[in-house]
Amino acid sequence: MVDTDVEGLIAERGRIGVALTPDEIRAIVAHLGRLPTETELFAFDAQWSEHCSYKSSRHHLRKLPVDGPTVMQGPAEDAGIVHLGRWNGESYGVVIAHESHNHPSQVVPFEGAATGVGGIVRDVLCMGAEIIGLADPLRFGRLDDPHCRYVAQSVVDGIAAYGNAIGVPNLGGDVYIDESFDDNVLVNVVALGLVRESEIIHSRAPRDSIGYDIVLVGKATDRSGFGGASFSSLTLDDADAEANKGAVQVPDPFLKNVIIRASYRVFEELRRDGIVAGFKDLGAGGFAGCSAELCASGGVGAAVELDRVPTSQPDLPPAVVAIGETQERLCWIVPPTFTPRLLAIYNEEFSLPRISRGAAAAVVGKVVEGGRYHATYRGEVVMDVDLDFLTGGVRYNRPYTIALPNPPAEHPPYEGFRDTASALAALLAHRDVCSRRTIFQRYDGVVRGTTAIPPGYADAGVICPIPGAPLGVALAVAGNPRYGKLDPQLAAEHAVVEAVRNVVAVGARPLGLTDCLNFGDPTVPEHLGALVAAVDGLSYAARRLGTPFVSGNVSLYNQSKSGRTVAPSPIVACVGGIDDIAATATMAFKRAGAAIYTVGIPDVHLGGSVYAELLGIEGAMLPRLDYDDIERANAFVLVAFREGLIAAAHDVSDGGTLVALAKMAFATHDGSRIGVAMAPGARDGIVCDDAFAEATGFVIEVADEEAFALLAFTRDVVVERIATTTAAYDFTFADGSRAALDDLYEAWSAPLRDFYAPVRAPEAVQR
Amino acid sequence: MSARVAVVVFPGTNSEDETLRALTAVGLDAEIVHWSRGAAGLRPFDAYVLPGGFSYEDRVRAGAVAAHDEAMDAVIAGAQAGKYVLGICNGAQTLLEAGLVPGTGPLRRPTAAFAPNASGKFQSLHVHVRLNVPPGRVPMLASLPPDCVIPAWASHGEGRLAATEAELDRMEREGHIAFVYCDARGADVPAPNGSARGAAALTNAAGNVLAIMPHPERAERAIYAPSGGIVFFAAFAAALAGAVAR
Amino acid sequence: MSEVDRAYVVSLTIPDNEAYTALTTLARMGLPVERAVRADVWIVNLDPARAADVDATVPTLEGIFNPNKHRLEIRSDALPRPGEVWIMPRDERPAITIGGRAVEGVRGVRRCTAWRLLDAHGGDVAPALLARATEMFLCNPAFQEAIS
Repeated sequence: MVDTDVEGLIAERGRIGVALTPDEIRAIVAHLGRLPTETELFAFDAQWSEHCSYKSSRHHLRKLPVDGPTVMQGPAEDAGIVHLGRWNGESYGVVIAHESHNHPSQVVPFEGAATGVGGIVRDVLCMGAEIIGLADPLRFGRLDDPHCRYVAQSVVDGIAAYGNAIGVPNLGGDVYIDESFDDNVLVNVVALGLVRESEIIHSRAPRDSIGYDIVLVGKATDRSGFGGASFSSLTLDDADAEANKGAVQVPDPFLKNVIIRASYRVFEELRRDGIVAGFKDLGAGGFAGCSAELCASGGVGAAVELDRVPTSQPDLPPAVVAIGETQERLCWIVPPTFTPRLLAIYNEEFSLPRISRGAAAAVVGKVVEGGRYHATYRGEVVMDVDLDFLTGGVRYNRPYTIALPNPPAEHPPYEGFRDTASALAALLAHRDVCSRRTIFQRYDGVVRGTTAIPPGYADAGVICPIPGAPLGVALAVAGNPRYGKLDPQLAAEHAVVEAVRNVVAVGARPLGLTDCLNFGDPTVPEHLGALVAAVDGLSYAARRLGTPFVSGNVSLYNQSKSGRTVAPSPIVACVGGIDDIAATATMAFKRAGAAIYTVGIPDVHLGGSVYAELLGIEGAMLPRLDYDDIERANAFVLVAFREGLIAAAHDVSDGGTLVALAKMAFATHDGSRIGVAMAPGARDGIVCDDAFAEATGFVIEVADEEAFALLAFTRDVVVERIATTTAAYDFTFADGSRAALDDLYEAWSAPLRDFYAPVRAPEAVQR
Repeated sequence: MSARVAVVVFPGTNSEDETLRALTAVGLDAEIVHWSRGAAGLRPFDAYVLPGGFSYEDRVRAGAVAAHDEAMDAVIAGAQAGKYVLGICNGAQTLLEAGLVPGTGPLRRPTAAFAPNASGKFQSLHVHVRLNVPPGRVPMLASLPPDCVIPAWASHGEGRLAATEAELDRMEREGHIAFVYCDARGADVPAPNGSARGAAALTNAAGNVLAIMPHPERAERAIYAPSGGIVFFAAFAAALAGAVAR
Repeated sequence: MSEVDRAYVVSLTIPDNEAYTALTTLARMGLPVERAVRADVWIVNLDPARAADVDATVPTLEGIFNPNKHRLEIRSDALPRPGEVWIMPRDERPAITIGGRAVEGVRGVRRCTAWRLLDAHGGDVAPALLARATEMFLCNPAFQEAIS
């Protein structure tokens, strides 16, 4: 082998279809002492891609706090686990995983979004957990653009198709719309699982597993999704559209439904016999990536015969068999004494081969000593690499620059709304505030029968996943792109605070966080700088609030070739625990004549607010965060829930306090129809603007005013009575003017009512 | 000796857990039985419940493949022998495809269907349904009061009753439309999925087979609305206790 | 303004599990069928002057056609071939979209499924057998009609 061979390979890398850089290829050749085989080349391409290796971000992610008393398992594996509580002598954990599927959803939106759900539920399943809930934070381009609308419709359809078919309830999510997402939609998905602490299964080869079988389960391997990992790590370009379509994986939620149930059976059998197994799902990097990581993290090696991988197309090249990302596949490492039972469960009891052509559980290799990955195909060795080198990947400490935002403390004068009623109507109709019911009604929020609060009824979805137990689990998401554009670091802090508050607003203790960092090109210092700043913000807020990150994801290169990059988008999910489900409430007003209080010291900066955008106010500061006050307020709200002092609660966010009150009234629209009247002197007017600031804490319908006020006093929390609920279905302002809630409801419901109006297909160019 | 109820699961069924819990919550001896146990595995049971989901991926038509599955031979034989058979959502579709409901034609030659929603889209909505026939018309629900209103969740993409006009008239005349959509107070409302005659559930002539599209079992832990769906299963259990005692 | 019906027939180039399950079901019913072949058909009522444009647009609609797993056949007579049966929803108002997209020149869209059943020699089964399979399984007359 001579240098010219290496340079030749480097010159060919584009044609071959790998995204490895010249230096990366040289490093591989130097390590191997020879040129890599085609299979090895693709294996490195996947494992060293940004998507798999986090090579540009891992260094910075170390700053995130990952420990705490609520953590059962931190970010070492594909999902994190937090302590939920004890029931019937067992300690239960909630598994949480968070991923993105941005590039595939832009190119083939239905499949891309559906396979995003497919992938995230596998991460939860592979901890040995029952899959109990989903959330989908979405970022769409402007919906008046036909293509953006088409992408958005298909993304929602894809998520619905997958989640509904596997029977996992959607517990929440959000939709933000911004032109920076016009060419790069963001599709993040979060999944929850339930597992007993004593029954967690790890995604590594167990101790003493030399001689164990490596068993591949699931869909027959085909050509779909080949190149997906590196595809996710590249900038999108229309010219590559056809090739990119081929790289998008094909979802099969029906098969997944059966595989999930079969896997639960396997869990039962393993637990009954006290067998320790390794279990990991196949994602980026395909079978080789998954089995390599299983073995590398177990400190063992693998001997694999790729011929034994069930395929649905004949004569697949070994690289496709090894690296292709056919969906709905899992990998077990089990003692050979268990293998026959494992195969029988999947192949016979759940009849995989009869319901999907070529689907099966099959033994494809063995765990061996040493630390190498050795794979053969038709008698030839196609992979022989050191596992630590393959999976350890590379690390880059790329340069970055952080732009420090420096807005003036006072914003310049501006022309405002005519009156409070028209301001409120405009806010309610804003793209980031208006009703998303048309969207989330596509999702089944109550399948499995565990849902206590479905999407749309409160700030977080709530389930009671343990039959008979009063323990509740809450899930909420946050991440505001309007803030991200102004100040990534503070936006990240707001995402943490907002996600935590959403969970507190249903009476749940925040147990843990996940994050997905959706950013641009990490080789551009300013974009990497935005990510670094966001990580700083996430870390700071999480530390101050004492809520650790237990899992997360990074998605880079969210930009188009034309250079448009997405708004810096740190998206956060928070999972919370409720000790007794009796102590929770929906946001709907419960009775007329009740007192409404705000909780927390309001910060009235208007930067990034919907109000500021509507009025063209520029240069205002983002709301500041007083963490001491936030912590006290959160703790107070939780105690107030437990003591039965809260009838309804809502966290104030997009649009501000009046919007929050309107939504609490809207939740009674089809039933009790309860209105609200601001107290005379309440600062709700367009003159003072305070009511339009967005980080002002909670609004609460109080069940026992005296006890509530006393509790606030003893806990040093600022609460203020601002309104009273009314029997008349009106919104009455402090100055006595009023707006009919039916009219405001219509303003709020109308903008996305036609979300599914068919979009015209672009005229095809005659070829 | 209490009745044994089989919760029949096909590949793609996804609501078996909550359906099982609803049955055991009202004191029934119920268990999940997989399609792979075949007709022989199902024969020993006294009653059958087919839960919701997407059996066989809705291949060919929702419920069509399950209706022809060998396991259904036992359910059909049981229905013909007078055993109670309850189908919920996809389970209801399977019973229609099996010809058991409305049961006005030969076996496995459906005369009605729960077809795609008028909107063409899957929708998940909290609804109410009202008992549209005298309680004794459906013996498995005989203990429900007349005009009983039950809360439920309509979570489906294909819940619109479709049949020829003549067949719809006949079903109305002969009391096959067991439940209709209504509001919380029991007043008729247009079916959210465009279902003909507002139909939410159908029964056969003998009233021992019921096919209901909305899910009465999903509001078990709900705090957002009165969770009353359990009365449906309580009636089922009461009827079974009576039937077995006979 | 004249209008014609044109059929866009999309079938899978990868294994078709729906066809496979239909086959195993028919076999269980005792029908001597060796292979089932299925396609999705979009019967598009369009302005004939726009036919070429629509022909060019349909393969770009990734909601219904992915070149990595589908083949497309265009039929200017929107009719089943001998040996084929088309299962169509009855009494359905034509949609105005194909794969969720509105297409210029398209007046109405009806979607149906095309089936062919093959015997052990790879040829079409006898028409009587196809009719029997249709009546017993492929078509639900409550809301569908069969056209051959």
